[in-house]
Amino acid sequence: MTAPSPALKPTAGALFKERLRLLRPDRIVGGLVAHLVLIAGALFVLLPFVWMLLTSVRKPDEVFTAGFNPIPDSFHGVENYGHALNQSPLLQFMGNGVIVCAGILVVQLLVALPAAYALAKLEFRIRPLLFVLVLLGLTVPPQVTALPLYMGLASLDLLDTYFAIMVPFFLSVFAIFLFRQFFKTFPMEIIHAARLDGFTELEILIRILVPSALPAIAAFSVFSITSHWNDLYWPLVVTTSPEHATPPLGMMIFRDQETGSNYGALMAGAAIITAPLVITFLIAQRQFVRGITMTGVK
Amino acid sequence: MAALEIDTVSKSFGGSAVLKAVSLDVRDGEFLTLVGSSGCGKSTILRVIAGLEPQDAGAVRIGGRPVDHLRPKQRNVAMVFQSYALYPHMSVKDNIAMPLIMQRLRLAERLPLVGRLSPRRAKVMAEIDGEVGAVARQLHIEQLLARKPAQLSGGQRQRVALGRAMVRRPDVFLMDEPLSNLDAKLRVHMRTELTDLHRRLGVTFVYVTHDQVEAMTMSDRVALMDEGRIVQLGTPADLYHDPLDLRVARFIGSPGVNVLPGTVTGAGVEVGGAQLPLPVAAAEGAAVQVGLRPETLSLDPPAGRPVLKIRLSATENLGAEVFLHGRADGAGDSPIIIRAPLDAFDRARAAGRLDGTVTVAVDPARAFVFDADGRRVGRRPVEAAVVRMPVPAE
Ligand SMILES: Nc1ncnc2c1ncn2[C@@H]1O[C@H](COP(=O)(O)OP(=O)(O)O)[C@@H](O)[C@H]1O
Ligand SMILES: [Mg+2]
Repeated sequence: MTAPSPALKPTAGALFKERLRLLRPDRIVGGLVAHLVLIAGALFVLLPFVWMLLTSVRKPDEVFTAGFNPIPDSFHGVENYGHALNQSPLLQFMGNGVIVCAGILVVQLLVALPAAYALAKLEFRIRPLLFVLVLLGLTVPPQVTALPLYMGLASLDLLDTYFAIMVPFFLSVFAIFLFRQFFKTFPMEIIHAARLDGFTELEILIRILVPSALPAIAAFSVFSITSHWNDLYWPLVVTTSPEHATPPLGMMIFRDQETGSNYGALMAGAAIITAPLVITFLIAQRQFVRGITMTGVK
Repeated sequence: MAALEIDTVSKSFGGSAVLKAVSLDVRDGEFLTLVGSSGCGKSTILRVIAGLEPQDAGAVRIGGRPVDHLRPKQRNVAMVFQSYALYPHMSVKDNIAMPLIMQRLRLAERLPLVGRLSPRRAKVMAEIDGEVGAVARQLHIEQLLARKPAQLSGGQRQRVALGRAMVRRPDVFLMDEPLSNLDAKLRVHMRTELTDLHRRLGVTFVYVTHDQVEAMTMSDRVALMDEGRIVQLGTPADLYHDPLDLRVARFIGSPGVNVLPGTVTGAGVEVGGAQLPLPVAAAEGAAVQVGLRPETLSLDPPAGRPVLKIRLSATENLGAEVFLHGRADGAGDSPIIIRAPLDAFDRARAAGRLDGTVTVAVDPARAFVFDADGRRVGRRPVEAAVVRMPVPAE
């Protein structure tokens, strides 16, 4: 955070030596190998994604023929994307996705930030016990609670609503844990200063801790939005109509009803519903990486 | 403005006692320093006074009123923290204004948008702006008001922290090692600035430091702490010339006090062959520890005074004075330092009295005798006015 003192600044001579060192043959080879490995890894991870984009601009008959020709013979993108957008309420699915993801994220933050503050910085007797419970909560897979939740929602007549899609995720133990780890590192003296100045505990959280935790909040938001935007399992359990369907569920309904085996249009639809995530991540990228490294998660 | 009383306060953290029945009366308007090595509980006392940490036992009174049931902001104390503890995402101006905003705006008026609906908010904020400006001018930080803490130097951050404490006109000012993060030169400068500030404000200061020089030069009175207890409370001169405990004698003064093993005799104390005619409240033959400040050992001819023979190992010439390092013959070979004015050193050298060994005269009236547990025995009160206070070396 503080600027390096003048004594630590490298001189021009030292900088030059450093550059020379980087130009040594063994260094160059080492760098090349490292980058080749990284590129290969990136290709491997990106291949399905790239294939999706390529398929989304192919003609239907070209999708299954001619082996693995990566470059489409003719550009069929306009038809495929037009088909995807016209033949299915894709925009409505995405709107549902936005509502569900935003609703989940907002409640998650409203619950997790105060809980994390209490677990990190407030003194009370059962705090260690509560923290252990949070850690235990991390180990419970969502499938375990699916049945009781479903029955509860059914008896309240709440199936097939936005609320039903969102409710299991309102309380994120992962978020509590992540923010608690971050708040733990926040200097106690600043919180003491705020208490002396007359801040209420909630004001300390909102006016002092949250602005400092923005990178961690951004990182968690990316996790949360991605997983709930892409979630198929729970919406499939509680939703039956397309009205409340989130994008992946919508895609499934769309495939069954309309397109059958028009994979070009299907991939175009997939590309459209993935786009918001990619854009969100690109925007939040720097904060995200900082948040991950700062909280010491991973 | 108010006096501060700490009445047998105890505090432990998870079984380890950090404060052990600490009592301390700070007078109205006094500059009192708590000094002690790191971990002795100084910060904990400040946090108890401020109400940030509840004590396990005992009471705190400010201006004669018990404050134990009051929350930190209701006690009207301000604190400058060691790390300055500025709010990282607020400008300097907001940092200084925060205590006033919290004091004068109601909770609803502090809300982001709803607050603006309150008719009196604008007026209060304008008042606060004026007071923040006045404090900033006093501290010469007007030009920094728009900056964030990260854009400030250590010294500037410290001024902002002072401003945030001053702006609320507290009854008691608590300072936790406020100078320890500054470079040496600025630290010396800020010592005088803080004492000036204390004089101007006329408020009770409780100042915490582990640096005995700060304690000696800034305070009206000093309380020396060790392991959660106050070992001695007194003026800087008291602690220097009349330490009641070996720990005090060792902690205060630089270079440190010389400690030599001695024995109680019928006529006083024998140390390294020298007979010190001191009344000592200990049985004859008992082993004692004798403390001799480096400047009380004289290189001039003894003229009948008791002497110690010292083998010299090094001399440090500091210009106006000279430190001679050596070991005391016959006194357990203890390491010893003599602090001599340059003229005395020159005289001794010219007279050929510095040939690898030297004989120094001891002033019995200025020797401290401690028993085996480090408690002072054979105390001879020294008139502070008679003895000159040497300026502590850096
Ligand atoms: N909140 C706390 N929890 C547990 N131990 C603490 C806490 N605060 C202080 N201590 C312990 O109390 C002792 C005194 O601390 P402190 O008052 O900060 O010392 P000082 O300020 O004199 O260096 C230390 O050993 C420290 O580890
Ligand atoms: Mg401390």
